[in-house]
Amino acid sequence: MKQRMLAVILVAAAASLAIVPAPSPSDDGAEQVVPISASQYAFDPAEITVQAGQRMILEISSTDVVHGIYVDGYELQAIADVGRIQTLEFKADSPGTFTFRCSVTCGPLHPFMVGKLHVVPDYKWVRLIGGSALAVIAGMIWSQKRETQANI
Amino acid sequence: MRLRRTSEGIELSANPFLRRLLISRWPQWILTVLALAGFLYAILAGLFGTPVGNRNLAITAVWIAWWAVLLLILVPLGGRAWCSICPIPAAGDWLQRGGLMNSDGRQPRGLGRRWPRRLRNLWMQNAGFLLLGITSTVILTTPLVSALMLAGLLAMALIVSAIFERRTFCRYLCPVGGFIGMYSLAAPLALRVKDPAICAEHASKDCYRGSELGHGCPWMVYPGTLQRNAACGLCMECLRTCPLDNVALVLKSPASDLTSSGRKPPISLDESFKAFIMLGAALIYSAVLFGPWAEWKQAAYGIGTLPWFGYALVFSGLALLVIPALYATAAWLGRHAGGIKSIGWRNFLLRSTSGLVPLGLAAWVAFSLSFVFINGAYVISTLSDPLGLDWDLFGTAAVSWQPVLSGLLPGLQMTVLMIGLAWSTSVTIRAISHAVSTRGSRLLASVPTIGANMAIILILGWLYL
Ligand code: SF4
Ligand SMILES: [Cu+2]
Repeated sequence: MKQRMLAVILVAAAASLAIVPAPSPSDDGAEQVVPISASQYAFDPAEITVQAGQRMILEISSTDVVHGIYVDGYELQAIADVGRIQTLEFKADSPGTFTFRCSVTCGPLHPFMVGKLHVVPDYKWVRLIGGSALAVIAGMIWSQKRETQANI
Repeated sequence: MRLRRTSEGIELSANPFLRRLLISRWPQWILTVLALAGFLYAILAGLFGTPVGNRNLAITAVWIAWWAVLLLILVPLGGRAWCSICPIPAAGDWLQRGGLMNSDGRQPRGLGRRWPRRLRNLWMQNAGFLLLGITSTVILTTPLVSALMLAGLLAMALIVSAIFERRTFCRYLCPVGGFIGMYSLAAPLALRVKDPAICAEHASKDCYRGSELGHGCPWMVYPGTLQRNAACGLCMECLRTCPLDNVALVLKSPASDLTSSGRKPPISLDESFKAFIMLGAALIYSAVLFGPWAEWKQAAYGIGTLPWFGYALVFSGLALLVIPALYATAAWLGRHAGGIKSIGWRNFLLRSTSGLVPLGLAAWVAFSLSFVFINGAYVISTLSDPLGLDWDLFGTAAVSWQPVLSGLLPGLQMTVLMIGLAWSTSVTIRAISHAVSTRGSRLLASVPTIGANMAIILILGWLYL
C-alpha cells in the first residue's frame, strides 16, 4: 500500500514537473514586433520565439482569404484580413509553448492551421526529461508492489 | 448498490438491477438504434450538406464527438463497450437473427460460412487501418468522403454478415474494431465466467451454440476459457443464454490481461503490430495535424500527389519499420542484458511490447483531448445547423468557435502521457517477470524497452509542450 502511494505521488510529481511553468523573469521593457502573414493553411512565420516578460506586438494580415488568429493560453483573438493589418498586443509573461491557430473557417484544413509561440526560457527539456524519469521510477515501484502481492 | 467481489474483481452483474438492465434486450437495442439513426443522419449530412468540414455534422459528430467519447471514455474505461451498441453491424445482426428483436438463437440465418483460417487474425485490420491512416486527413476534413466511408462500412458489414457467420466483420475486418480490441486489454470492464470448471462440465454450451434465450457468441468466443478482453464484444448474449448463471460482468484491475502469468506472451504478433501502427499514427498525427509544418499538412491532404506518396511512405515506414525495429532492438538488448534463456526472443519481444498497449492508449487520449478542447464548439453549432445551410434547429447555430481551457490543454496532455509512461513501465516489467527470476536481471532486461517508451513520450511531449 505504501508503494502504491509512493508511485502515485511520483506520477503526480512527474506531471507537475512537466506542467509547472518556468519562473517568469521581470519585465525588461523590451518590445518585439512580429509581422505574421496568414494564408491557407499556414502562418508565416509558423514559429515565434520571444523572451519571457517582453511586450509582443503581432501585426497580422492575410494573403488570400479571411483568417483569424487565436493564441492558446493567452486567449487572444484577432481577424486576419487581406490588405489590412490588425495588431495584437500583449505581454508574453508566461513561459512555455503556446499554439496559435486560425479562428475563422477558411477551408478544409482550417482546424489544423496552427503555429507555435515559444516564450523562453521555459526549460522544456529539463522538465520533460525530469518528468518522464520520475514517471518511469513510479512505474518501477508500482510493478514491485504487484510482485510482493503476488508472492504472498 | 450491493456488489459482489470475486477473484476476478467486482462482479457488476451480481447487482439485481444492473443484471436486469444487461439481460433485457431493450436498453442495448434502443442505444443501438439511436446510434444507427445518428450514423445515418451523419451520412445524409455528408452527402447533402456543406463541403466545409467543421460546419457539417458528418464531420463534427463523427470525428469530434464520437471520437472523443470513444477514445476518452469508452475505450479506457469500458474496453469494447462501444461494440455492444455499435450501429455498423446492426443490420447484419438483424439479418442473421431473422428479425429486429428476435432472441431465439437456435437457427441463425445467412450463409454462415466460416472465415478462412489464415485470415483469423488482425492483419487485415492492420492493413485497413494503415490505409485509412494515410488517407485520413481527407476523410477527416471532407464531409462527402467521410459519408462515403461510413456508408461503405455499413454496406460491407451487411454483406459480410450475409455470407459469413456471426460477427466476422467485427473481429477480422472492421478497422476500428481492431484497435478497440487491442486497447481493451487495458480496460477494467470485462466479461468472465465465474467458475471455468462448471463450463467444462456443461455439455450443451448454450453460450456458444445459442438457445431460445439468446444467440451463440456473435464474436466466436467461448466464454468458458475467456481470459482476455480483446475478442469479447461485451454483447451480453452469454449472460442471457447461460442456464447455470455462470457468466459475470466484472470490474477488474486494468491491464491485468497483459500481465497475467502463463507461458504464452500476453499479446500476439498481429496485436503487437496493431500497437506499433497505432503508436506511429499518434506520432504522425500529432506532428502533422497539430504541428506548425504546413507542407506536411498539404502533403497529407493531397492524395495521389507526389508529396502525399512521401507522406504515405513516412507514415508506413514509421509504423511498420522504424517503431518495430526500435522495439525489436530494445528486446534483443534486454534479453542479452538480463541473460534470459528460458524463453525465445520472439516471446520476449511480445512480452516487452505489451507496455505499448497503455502507452499507445495514453498517446491517443492525449491527442484526442485537443480535438474536444479546441474544436468541441463546432459540435454545438453544427447540431443546430447540421448541413451548413444556415438552419438553427436548437438555437445553437450561432455559437461561435471558442477553444475551452486552451491554457490547460498541454498540461492535461502531459499528465496523461506521464501516467501512460508509468503504467507502461509497470506493465512491461510485470509482463517479462514470468520469464526472469531475479529482480536485478528483470530490471536489466526491461530497461531498453522502457527507454524506448520514454523516447516516444519525449517526442510526444516535445510536440505538445
Ligand atoms: S452456457 Fe454457461 S456454464 Fe455452459 S459453457 Fe457456457 S458459460 Fe459455461
Ligand atoms: Cu485560416
